[in-house]
Amino acid sequence: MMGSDARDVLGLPSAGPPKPATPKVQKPKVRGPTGMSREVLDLKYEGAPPISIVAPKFKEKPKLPFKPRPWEETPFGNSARKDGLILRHWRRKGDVSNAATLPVTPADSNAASEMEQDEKATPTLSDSHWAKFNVKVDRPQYTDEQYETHLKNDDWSKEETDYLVDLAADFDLRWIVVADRYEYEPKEQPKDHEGSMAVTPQAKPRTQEDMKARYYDVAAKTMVLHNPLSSMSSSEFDAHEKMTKYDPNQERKRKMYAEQLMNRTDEEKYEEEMLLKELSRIVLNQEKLFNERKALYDRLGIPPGPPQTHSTAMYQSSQGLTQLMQNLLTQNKNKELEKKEKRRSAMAAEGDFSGGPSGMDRSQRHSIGGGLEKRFSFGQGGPRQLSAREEQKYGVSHPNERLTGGVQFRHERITKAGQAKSGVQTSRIGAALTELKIPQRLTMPTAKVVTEYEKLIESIKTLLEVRKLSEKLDGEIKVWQAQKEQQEAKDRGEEVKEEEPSQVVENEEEEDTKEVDEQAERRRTAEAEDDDEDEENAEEKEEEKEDSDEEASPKERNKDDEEDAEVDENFAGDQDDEEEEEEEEEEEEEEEEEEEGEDDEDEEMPIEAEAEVEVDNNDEDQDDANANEENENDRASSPASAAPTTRSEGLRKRSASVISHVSNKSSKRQRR
Amino acid sequence: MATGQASTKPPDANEYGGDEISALVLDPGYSTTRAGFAGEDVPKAIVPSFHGLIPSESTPKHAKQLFGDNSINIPLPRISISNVMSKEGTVEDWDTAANLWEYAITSRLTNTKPTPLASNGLNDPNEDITMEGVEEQEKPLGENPLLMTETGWNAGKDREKGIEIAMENWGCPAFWLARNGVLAAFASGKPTALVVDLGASTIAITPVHDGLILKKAVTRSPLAGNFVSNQLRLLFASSQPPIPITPHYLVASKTAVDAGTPAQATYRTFAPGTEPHPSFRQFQEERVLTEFKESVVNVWTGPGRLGGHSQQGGTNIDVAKQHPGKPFEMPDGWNQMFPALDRYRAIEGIFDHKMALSDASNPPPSPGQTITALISSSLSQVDIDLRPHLLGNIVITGASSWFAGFTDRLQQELQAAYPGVRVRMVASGQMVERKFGSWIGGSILASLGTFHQLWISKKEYEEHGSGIVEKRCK
Ligand SMILES: Nc1ncnc2c1ncn2[C@@H]1O[C@H](COP(=O)(O)OP(=O)(O)OP(=O)(O)O)[C@@H](O)[C@H]1O
Ligand SMILES: [Mg+2]
Repeated sequence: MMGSDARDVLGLPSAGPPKPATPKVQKPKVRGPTGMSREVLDLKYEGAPPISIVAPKFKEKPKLPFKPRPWEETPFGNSARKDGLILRHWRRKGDVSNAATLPVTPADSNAASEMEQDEKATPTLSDSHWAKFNVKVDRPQYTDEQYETHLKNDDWSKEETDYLVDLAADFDLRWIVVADRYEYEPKEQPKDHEGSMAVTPQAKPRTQEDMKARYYDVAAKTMVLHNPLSSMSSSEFDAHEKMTKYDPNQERKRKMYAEQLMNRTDEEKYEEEMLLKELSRIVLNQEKLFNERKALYDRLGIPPGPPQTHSTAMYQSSQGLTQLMQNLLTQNKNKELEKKEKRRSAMAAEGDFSGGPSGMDRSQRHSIGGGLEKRFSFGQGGPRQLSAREEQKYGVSHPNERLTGGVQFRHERITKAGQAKSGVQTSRIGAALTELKIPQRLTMPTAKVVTEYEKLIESIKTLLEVRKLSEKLDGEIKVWQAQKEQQEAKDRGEEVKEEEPSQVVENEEEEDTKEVDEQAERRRTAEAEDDDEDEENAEEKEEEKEDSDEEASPKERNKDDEEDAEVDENFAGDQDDEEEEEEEEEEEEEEEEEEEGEDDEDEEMPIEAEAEVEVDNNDEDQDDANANEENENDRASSPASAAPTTRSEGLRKRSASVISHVSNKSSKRQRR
Repeated sequence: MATGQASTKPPDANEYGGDEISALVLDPGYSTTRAGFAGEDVPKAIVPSFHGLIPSESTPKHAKQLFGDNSINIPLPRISISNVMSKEGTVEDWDTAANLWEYAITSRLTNTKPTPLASNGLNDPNEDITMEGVEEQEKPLGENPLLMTETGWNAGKDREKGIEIAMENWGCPAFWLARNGVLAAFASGKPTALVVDLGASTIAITPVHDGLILKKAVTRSPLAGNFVSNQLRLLFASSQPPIPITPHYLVASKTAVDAGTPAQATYRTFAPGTEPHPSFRQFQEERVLTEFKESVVNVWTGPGRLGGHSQQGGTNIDVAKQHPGKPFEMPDGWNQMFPALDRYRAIEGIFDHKMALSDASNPPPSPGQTITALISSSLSQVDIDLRPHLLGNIVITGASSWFAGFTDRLQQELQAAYPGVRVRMVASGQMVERKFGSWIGGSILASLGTFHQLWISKKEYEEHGSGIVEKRCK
């Protein structure tokens, strides 16, 4: 290096690479034959054993970048103590984690005589870290005077009150402990008179509730004494309120119940469990029911409130429901009527759409069955508007008549339709049906089919009536003819008398035809009653009619005798026509049945609903049997018959058309 | 480096609330006395509460006292064994107890020498001679506050003796007296609990609310470890042929024998006049019985009681007969398979007084003494609001609760007695924690920083006298 530096200085060119400063001492290597490990070689050449001889040595001390701080036993005081006890704990030297320090008071030095040396070293003692956790409850403070004026109690002496208050403060108002430690012994009363015995009053047994009541009483009163109610802070006021409201009797009662609860036997516990289960089940079902109802209301188009807060409680009674219905109906009467008018005309265009369960039944069914609920998305702000086709598919109808409560079965309608007042009549209807090759039980009773079926039965009834009439008349005519012949044979001469009866007959005949017309009209009105006409009404009509038939029959029987042959013939001719019509209808029905077969499944009804419905019907049947007038009244008062006038108007119109129709027919017949 | 530094750092006081001040914890029991430093998890010194007495020939009044396992188990001539504790589990012989405790503390814990017998005041006929200055220097515990335990029913003057010994004899700077039931609850981390302590002398039921004992509701009965030992003695005596209990010290040599055959051993004999006192044999027998209890005795865990009927219709005794037995070998080599019924029978009396064996010196227990009855009567004296909490926190402690199946059985019995409440046992699975529950609780309490302000200081003692214990240690 030095050489190169000198050369640099002198500007001489460097002479070869610089030599390393300390040449490596090359150790002579003992080389054995290659391919042998060192250990094996060592064995072979008996060289030094391959053990390095190292003198045992302790691990070197780590060199720390700081000086270790020693620990020392440090004395410390505690400001929570009044006696200046000095304790020692191990702390690192110079650790001043306890910032708080205690001045050494003369009192301390006395107690800590043994630690004088330490104290000299540390003139101030550190305070215990824990002193601040020393929290005490405020003991209610009162003077003797205050006690006399405000706190006196016959049951509690001042001494005992003091004892209680002290004890409560001692145990930080842990009343369970206070009650456990309560051992007040009344002091001996000073002798009042010489000679009288010193009275040692018996210690009164105090329950925890007694103690609490007394303490709270004293504490509340002293609170007010020190700080009037008006100037109390809210928390203080709350505390005061709580204390004044303490009721030991209620507390005692509560504890009694709690004890009873705890001492239940296994059986009682089991029973209670069962009851609770039952209750929860009921509550659960209730909720389900509410939800169903709610869905129903939604369906009915109740203005949707917020779904969570919308309470269905008011609709839980049947009264509530009726009221709701009434409100709804009156509210939407005009609107709905308009709608209905429109719909009816629309329906008339695309064919008669009728029957099926009424709208009410429908929605109820959905809410019960729940299967279709997805299709009828309820939750999205009111019911979905269905297209006419869908309505037809689902059998939705929009009746503007009163709806019967509950569910009805179509098969009931069928059987009802097939039944007349008398058994004979029923069997006759049956016979007529078999004659027409229509099964008594429909194989596919879809809504449409049932309606048509009802119509058919009505027609059959008319037919039967007319048949009966014609038979009677036939007989009559024969009788009359026979009489006539006899009379003609007898009284060839007496011609004056002959004319009279025929006149009478003619008159009566007129009346009769009128009667028949009227009946027919009524029947037709019943039939022609709009498709969305409610079942019940139809039934009522029917029964009304039947009733009137019965009422009328005794008189009419006589008149019937005097029927004219003409009418009879006409009816006989008409009969054929009707039969033809009926057959056509049947064919139609069958086609429809095939079409509607798919929908039928949906229209099946749960069985549970049956009972309710039947009860309703029974009631009505009875009512009907009693009097029609009553029914009329009922209807007027019942909410669903909100439009009696409109209906009667419609009836009148229709009856007028029917009358004209009948008169046309009769004129046809006459022509024939 | 960094780790080395961390290990020397004290744990943050805020973390566990501890602030150790080298306090000592002393937990005297009927069978053993436990002593150790607060903050440790096991007592360092466990000495028998029994002590040996060797009457001196010259002065028969002053017998030589022997303490500790190493000296009281040797059959020294005329040695007799007695206990400083009463059958109630409270201290009876205070003077000897002070010596015993001092032995326990100084032999293992502090390096101070025990007070020389000459100056400990006991052997001094004239007490006035002692000079105060000299006394100060010799006090063995001048720097250690002492926490002592007591039973739940310890009362009156007995409570004051402890502080007198601690302050006068040992010069402790501070003292505290705590109920062992409360401490056992602390050891389980429960401020509110119903502590069931099965020691040697007593079963003690201690309701604890918020760390405070409910004195009036403490119940106890003698059906504990010693009762089980006596049951075993009765069982051995009543079996055919009677099973002899031969303690270790009597056996000089032995050879193995088959089960049920008489022992073949040579026995030690003592020269007349040097035989140990019968109490010594009794004490040694107790050690054998403890061994037997540890390994053979088992609690019938139901269903139902051992004396009851099984679900199949027969008696539970018949069911128990089918259970496997367990072999045990006496110190002299005699051994036998102990049938399951005997294993259950020995302890069944704790639960069912009708099943207890009895004779003239061992009267049958009353129905109110069984553990379930004790718990029930204790609970009935506690405020109703507290009862469900107590039943939900039943702390099991004491070495006699270590019998197999004990906790299950107690759970069953209590749940049957209180079907409407959830009964929960808190029983440590560690034998040390079960045996030394109350000491461990004391160790925790005395090492807490917040406990500093509770200690009764020497100054307070000097001011108020020993009566201060009653005022402070509530
Ligand atoms: N593993 C064990 N199984 C059953 N019992 C045991 C076991 N170990 C010790 N014992 C018994 O437990 C008793 C000692 O229990 P413990 O140490 O809790 O009592 P103690 O606190 O000294 O007495 P006391 O609480 O009555 O004053 C003795 O009777 C002993 O025979
Ligand atoms: Mg114990």
